[in-house]
Amino acid sequence: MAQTSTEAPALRLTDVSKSFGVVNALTKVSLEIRPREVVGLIGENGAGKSSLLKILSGNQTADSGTMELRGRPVTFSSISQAMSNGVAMVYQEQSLLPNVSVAENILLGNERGAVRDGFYRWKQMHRTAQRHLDEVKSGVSPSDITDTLPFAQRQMVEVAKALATGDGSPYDPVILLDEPTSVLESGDIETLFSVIRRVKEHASIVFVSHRLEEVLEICDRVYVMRDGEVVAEVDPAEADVDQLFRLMVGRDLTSGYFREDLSTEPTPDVRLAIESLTGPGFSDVSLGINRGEIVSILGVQDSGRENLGRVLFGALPAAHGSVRIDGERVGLRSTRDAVARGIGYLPSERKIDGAIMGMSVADNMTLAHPDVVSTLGVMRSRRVREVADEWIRRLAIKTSGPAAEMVNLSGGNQQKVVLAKWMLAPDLRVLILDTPTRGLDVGAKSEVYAILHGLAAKGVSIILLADSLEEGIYVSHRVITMADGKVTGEFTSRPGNRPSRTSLIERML
Amino acid sequence: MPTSSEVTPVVEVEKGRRPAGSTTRSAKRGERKGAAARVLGFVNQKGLTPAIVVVLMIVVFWAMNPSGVTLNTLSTLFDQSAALLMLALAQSLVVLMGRIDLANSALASFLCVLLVIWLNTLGPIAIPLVLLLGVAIGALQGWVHMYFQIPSFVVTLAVSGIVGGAGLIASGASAVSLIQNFELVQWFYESPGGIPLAFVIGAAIAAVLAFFVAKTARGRTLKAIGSNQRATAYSGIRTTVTVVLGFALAGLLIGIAAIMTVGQLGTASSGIANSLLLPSIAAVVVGGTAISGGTGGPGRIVFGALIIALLRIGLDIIGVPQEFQPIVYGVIVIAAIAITVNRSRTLSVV
Ligand SMILES: Nc1ncnc2c1ncn2[C@@H]1O[C@H](COP(=O)(O)OP(=O)(O)OP(=O)(O)O)[C@@H](O)[C@H]1O
Ligand SMILES: [Mg+2]
Repeated sequence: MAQTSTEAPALRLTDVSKSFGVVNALTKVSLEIRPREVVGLIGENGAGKSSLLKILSGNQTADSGTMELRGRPVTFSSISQAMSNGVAMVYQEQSLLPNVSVAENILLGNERGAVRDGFYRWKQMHRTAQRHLDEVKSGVSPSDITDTLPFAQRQMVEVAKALATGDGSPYDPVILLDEPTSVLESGDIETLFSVIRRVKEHASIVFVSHRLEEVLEICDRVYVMRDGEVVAEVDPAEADVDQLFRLMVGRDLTSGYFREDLSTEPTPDVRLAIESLTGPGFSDVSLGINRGEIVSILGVQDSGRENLGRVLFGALPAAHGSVRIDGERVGLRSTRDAVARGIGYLPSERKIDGAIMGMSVADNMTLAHPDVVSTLGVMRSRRVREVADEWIRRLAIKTSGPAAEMVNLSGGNQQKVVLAKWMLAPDLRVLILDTPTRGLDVGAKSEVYAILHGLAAKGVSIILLADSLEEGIYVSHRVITMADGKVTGEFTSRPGNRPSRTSLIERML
Repeated sequence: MPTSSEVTPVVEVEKGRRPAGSTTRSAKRGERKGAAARVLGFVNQKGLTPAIVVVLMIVVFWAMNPSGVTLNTLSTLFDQSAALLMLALAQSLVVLMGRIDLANSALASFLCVLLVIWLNTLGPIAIPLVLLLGVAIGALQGWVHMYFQIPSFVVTLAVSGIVGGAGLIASGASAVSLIQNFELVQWFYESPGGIPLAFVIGAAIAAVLAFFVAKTARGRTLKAIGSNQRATAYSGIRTTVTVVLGFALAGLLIGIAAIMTVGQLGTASSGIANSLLLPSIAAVVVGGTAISGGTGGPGRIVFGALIIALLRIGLDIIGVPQEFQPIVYGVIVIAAIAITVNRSRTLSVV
């Protein structure tokens, strides 16, 4: 909003289209990003947000249409070319190199003074990196090795890296943030927002998020995308969440976003019994979950809830304690044991642990339960196709079909495929979900809640590591809070008798 | 500081401003290009390129030396490529899992030596023994690699040293010859009804493996591990077991390669198959299996192996000396990977 009308837009797209085979990711998109403003970009999963940003950042080229940078026509044929023109992107899926230092990552492709005669000048490099880390108020040290950091901190490093791009460029940078907040906790989000507000003084920012409240809070202008087209431009000062939702999906947000109407009473028999379970980062957890019960676990980073989930699935070793399903003891020695006992697990890091990018949608779906689609170990291609088709339909997955490669799906649709992998299990008893709605659009989230209620109604016990307090409160029958590796609270949660936010937060700290 | 040359003007600007009438022409051009691209895409997707190359090579060699390409030379071609095909299949399983086996030819040599010695001393039991030993050593390599988390190239490189030394000791550092039971291994190279058995058996094994990888649940896990081991483990698949199995299967194929080699030559030495390592990798990559794992597989190896074998014969036909041939394989490996590697995956961050 700070722009003056005489100034050329930082970036302007006119009639940009892009298709992948039969999928039209973008159709004649025109928009502009003005100097010193935050532009919001919203739309359902697969609407084309990431595709648009990838074109802006030189990662992909448009099929047609034009792009103007500060009034001059350009095409970026590479990421580095975009970067040297001050356009940088933080990807939806993280893109840092795992086994090098934070400083190297931040300055990668943008080393400038930090490299002389092909050699790194470490001191200089660390100093520059430190400055950028300070800018995002990150406590990370430039010499830390990237993959030793927790997810949220890596995300902040990504932001610092994007900021570094603006450095030394004579132009004000354009920074593209593709769902930067989806993995952040509220404290970190606040930090990120203050960073955005500060950077805005000399930069343009594009902000993609499925959390519409956030978009209304931080953006100066919002573009709404639907099926590859920009369908509306909205002034956040005059819009609310419901209105944005309507524009996004073309219908009203049905009452009951959390689908409480579908919630059923669990039966009183205990399905999962956890007895003083101790593992890496948590200790002495005892918990009984009934058939058809949804229990959400809330906790901040390092509360131990993620590791609890992993241990239950046999992906991390338990120190001691026992776990029984329907009275029978579970080995906990391998993920294989867990799957054989009817446990499913949806990891939070979709790209690394959830989806196999090089394989097809159908293969991803049927990987954990090949028996469903094979006879005597031989896969029946037709059955594979049928099963995949069915789940594509039931979860409304946007893809060209069962044979589509996973890498070509939008983030939210990949998540649905990973969900389907567990849902097609013939005898699913316990489903552990680590932040399953992360990165999903509002409509898809609501669909996932409906799915969870449906599974619970069939007797599946669900452990939900909720992505937000509201999700934890409204989707479950019971809320458990964890802090520092211990269970700190337990709350029943039924319509009319929900725990309050403050009582939960108290126990989470 | 960015220079103006880094800002490439848009080519489309001009196109976009053309009068409406001219768009049809450019649209048509796009369509035609699309058709050609579709054909290429189909060939590529179905993995037909290697097969086409094989046919082209035969035609070229025939053109260069019509008398050199006869049924007889073709049959020699199959005989010569049988062992190579086995090693290439073994390599392809390992590469599919995102690993590499640098011990493959050294292990074959070692097994050749043992086979000759055991056939001379123990008799027919030597054959199952050699196969078993191949499986055991393969499985052990896989297990060491997984359990101690040592990269496969390190483990297999070390094993190639170990079995190389063991082969030297067993053979007394000289060639050992079969003095009896030759008929037990020689039958591979007979041609009942003019059909070279070695080729038929090789093709059958390749077909079985291709089926295994493409159509069975277990085979699919090899591919999954090659694409994303963590996600595979998070799907409840025992990755260690799968990798050990893959290496064991490779060991079995290496054992068969040893039997074929001895059957052809009737003699063995500690380095007899060593020259096949590079060609085996070349056959894998030429066949279109991604060196980074996860794509391709045995189905494509037959033609990869044929290309390499043809090349060997072709080089002989046009008179390229033996000592130049490894150079050719080296160049081919690099060129084939350079052509087939999915650069979009490495460059684009997503
Ligand atoms: N490389 C590709 N090949 C084929 N289809 C693709 C490719 N990249 C994207 N698509 C398709 O283009 C459409 C838009 O995808 P995009 O990733 O831009 O969506 P998005 O709005 O970012 O969604 P999300 O909110 O889930 O991240 C989707 O239907 C997707 O499947
Ligand atoms: Mg996206």
